[in-house]
Amino acid sequence: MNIVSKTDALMTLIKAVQTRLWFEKTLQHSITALWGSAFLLLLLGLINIFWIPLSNGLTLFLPLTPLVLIPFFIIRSHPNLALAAKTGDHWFNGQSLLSSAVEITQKEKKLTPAQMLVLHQAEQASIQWRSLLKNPQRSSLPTGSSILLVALISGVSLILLPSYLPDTLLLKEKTNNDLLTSENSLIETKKIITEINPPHKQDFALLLRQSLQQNKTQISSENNATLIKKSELKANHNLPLLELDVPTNEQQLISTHAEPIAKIPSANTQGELAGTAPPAPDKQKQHYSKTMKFNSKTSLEIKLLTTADPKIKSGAGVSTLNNFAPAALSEKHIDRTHTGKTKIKNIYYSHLPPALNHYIGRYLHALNTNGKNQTGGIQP
Amino acid sequence: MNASQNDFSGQVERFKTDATQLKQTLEKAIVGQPQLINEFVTAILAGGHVLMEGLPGLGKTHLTKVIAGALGLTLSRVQCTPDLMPSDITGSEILLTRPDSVAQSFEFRPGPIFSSLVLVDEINRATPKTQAALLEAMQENQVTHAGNRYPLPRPFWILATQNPIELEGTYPLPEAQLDRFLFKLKVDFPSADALTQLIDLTLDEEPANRITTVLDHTRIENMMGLCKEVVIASEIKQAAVALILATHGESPDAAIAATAKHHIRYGASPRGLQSLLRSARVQALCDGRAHVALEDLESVALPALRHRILLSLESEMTGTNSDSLLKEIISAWKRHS
Repeated sequence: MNIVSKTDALMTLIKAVQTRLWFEKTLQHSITALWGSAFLLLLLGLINIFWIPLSNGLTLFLPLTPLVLIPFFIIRSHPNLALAAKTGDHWFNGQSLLSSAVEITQKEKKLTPAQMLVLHQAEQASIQWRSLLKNPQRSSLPTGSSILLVALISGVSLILLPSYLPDTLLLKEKTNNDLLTSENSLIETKKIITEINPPHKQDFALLLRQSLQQNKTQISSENNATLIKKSELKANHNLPLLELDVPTNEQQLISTHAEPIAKIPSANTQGELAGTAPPAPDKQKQHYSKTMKFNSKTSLEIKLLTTADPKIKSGAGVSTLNNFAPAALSEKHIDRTHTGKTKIKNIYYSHLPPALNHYIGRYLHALNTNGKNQTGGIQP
Repeated sequence: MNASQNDFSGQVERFKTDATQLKQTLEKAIVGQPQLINEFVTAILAGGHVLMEGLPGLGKTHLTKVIAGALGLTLSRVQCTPDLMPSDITGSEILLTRPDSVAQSFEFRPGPIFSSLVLVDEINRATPKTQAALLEAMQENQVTHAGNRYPLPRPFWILATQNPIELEGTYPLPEAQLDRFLFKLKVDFPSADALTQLIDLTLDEEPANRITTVLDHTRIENMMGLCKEVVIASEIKQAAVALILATHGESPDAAIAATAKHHIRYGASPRGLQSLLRSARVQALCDGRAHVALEDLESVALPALRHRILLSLESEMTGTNSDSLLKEIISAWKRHS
């Protein structure tokens, strides 16, 4: 008896199940590979943002390696007839009918009445189940696809975003080619100062006050401002210096107890302190500075350069630094390059109010690019 | 569909109808125990012996009387007590003196075991020696007495009842004897609704007396013969083997394997595998199928295996239940099948 001729519908169904199963396994392997890629993308993106700047080519192509394995899995995951029959039973609640029938077609030559009945029942059921297979109830999109998509986009964004962010928000290590000239830096600094004009002054002052309130509890006695002696600054290598130029009006809004320092260390270019003779104090300016130690190796000095009348002992700048800077800056914002220079980066990720970040970011940008011989703001 | 197919298909349908009718008949007398009745009928149609365990008064003996009435078979009853002797079950030789002769001779008088249906009531109250008298009858369908073999009628079932082992004055059945029972059925206490229904049904008369015969001896043998035709695919056989091995701590689920190894001293025997597949075939036919499905194995696994696993001493002392342990094993087995 020709078994195959009597099981056309059955074998058609089994082949269809086999193909669908193969497709689903391929999809499953592909999704697994995509998850691997997304994970790598995210990892490299985070490294790129927070640790070591990586080239876009490496970070975009390395995560593709899991995808290369997909064809191997496709070939390997081709199901045999028995597995297809078992899966078909599972899909259609076939109570092992397809498994039994396929085995009979493959092994038996002389059929018993029971085997013939099983084949007949399988044939009848296959016609019905074939229509079910054409209209799958399962969702076409696998579970978690939206999360996967978000992960992929996030990973790519983390890698590509730094290239497109405006300089005010991103403090990126520049190459020699794109370093700003001192002239440009001066223009940039003046622009920033211009921005802190009456329309913005009030906001900025309020933000500083807000920051003061928010961070009051975080400040310990150890974090209080310490006056920096010239000898100490000399001893500290690569000590970047940030000066914030706060207009008088804002000083008055901020009540504090800090004291001015008498001598302000000067610094040479690219973040290294010269540490020789301090600049002659400007009659219209009062300098305040603070050193924050993040760990035993890294120190950061932030100096607030005010334009107040020296007679007004407001001390606003130091107070501001005392209160917002410890919260704003942390170890992750310190970029130690291979050349041993220490720079500040990514300050915009801090929890400060956005507007405040904006101003600080502008200063830090100038600091990191070139702050040579500036007035009124940046003195690296 | 050709003639032979038609014929076989008709037989399958008839099997299903008859089995359903038998269950419905039993349900008229035994209320609130549908699962017990289903498993009981499965064991009977698979030709296996049944051990029922439950507290006194739950209808174990009653069920056997009802099945005897529904099948139109003679029922012998052996009430086990500690002083019951093996010969009280198997029979004994008595000295006969013929009236016309002075010569005397011994003649074998068959005991109650020579019957198609034998109810061994409270089997665990008999001593191990008496319990062992049933071993040969259960496995080989014969009794050997004084060097002579006496075949038992076919089909032959022993329906034994026992009280929970915790009760005083009981002798636990040896593993070799337990293994010879196809199923061990647990008779649970009926629900409130079932008890109410029971009052209406049994208060004034014995429901077993109203039971009509639904199957005759020949029909039962035909049904039992049909079970042997049921197709068992290799996948099902492998699944059954996997289930037996899982009771030996060889489950694909590592956690279950570790649990089984910790709690089970001896897993199910090869006879357990046979019992599993024989009863699964009946389940398939009762469902109108000519092939065994994984679902059939699952449905019979618990009654077929619960008396075949021997718990470790530590597990017994901590009160581990073989049923809950087996349910875990079966659940894990189903996930991996």
